[in-house]
Amino acid sequence: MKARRYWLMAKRRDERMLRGQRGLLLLLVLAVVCSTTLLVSPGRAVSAPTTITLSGWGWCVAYADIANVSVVLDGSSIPRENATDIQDLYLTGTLTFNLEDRTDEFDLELRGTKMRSLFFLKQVSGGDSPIIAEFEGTWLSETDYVACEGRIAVPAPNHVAKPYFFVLRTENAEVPSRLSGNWVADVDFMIGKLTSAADAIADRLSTGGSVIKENLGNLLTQIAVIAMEVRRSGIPYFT
Amino acid sequence: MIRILAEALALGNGVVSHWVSVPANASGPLDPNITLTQTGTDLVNYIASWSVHSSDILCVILDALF
Repeated sequence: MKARRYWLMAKRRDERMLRGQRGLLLLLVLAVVCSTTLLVSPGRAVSAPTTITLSGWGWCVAYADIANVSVVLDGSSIPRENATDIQDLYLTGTLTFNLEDRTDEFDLELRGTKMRSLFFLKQVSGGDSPIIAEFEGTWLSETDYVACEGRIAVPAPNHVAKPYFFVLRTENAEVPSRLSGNWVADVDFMIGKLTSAADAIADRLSTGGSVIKENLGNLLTQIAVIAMEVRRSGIPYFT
Repeated sequence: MIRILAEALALGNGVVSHWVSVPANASGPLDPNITLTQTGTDLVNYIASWSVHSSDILCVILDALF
């Protein structure tokens, strides 16, 4: 009888110890799960600081001349978790639209995405009188060569918006050479080659400078006037 | 190449200047002093007429189909 009581007490003690060990184990498992899921950020790669300096030409319907445009954008690019060739971009900076007799400046806060060699950036802000900015183009990572076209629309009295158009590229970056690849199956090869051709044309245009700018400004002004008159006539497809 | 481009732009300017009269000190396309010439007005009317006829044709086709 006494021996049985001792046996029962020992058994209870063992059960209590076992329960305690199980609880300890459970706490340990919970701690591990929490530390991997809650405390550590969910597999997001670290953002990299990004700076691009672009310059080029721009035109606005309010002015006849072609302007020199420059913009420095600072921010970050964050690779996506399961697709490292896709990066989310956040860039801020000031765009300067410089004519001989005036300078317009726009503070930009752009968000967008870069996928391999292509990217877009966009901003819509300002509530009732928004500034809309959009840029699309190529971003060749090997040398951080960026070339893009873009638009900014700002509210204007008596008009829906005053649009600015830009063609921009990085100043001191070479277009990376595309020696391997082909025109049939490799989109990055095609983009690289076309960018290289566009860059060569831009180089020559910039050497042609003032004559080209003057002629282009006049032509765009006259085409815009015809387009406005066509729209004003209230006809189908153009209004 | 620059010469060809400059010549093409000059040619374009020459053609378009028959349609639009731009004063030397015009500030831009929104400047009220810029006017269309008679040829330019004819061009705009031609585009308007073409647009109306095209829309009529498209309407007839779509009405017939659906």
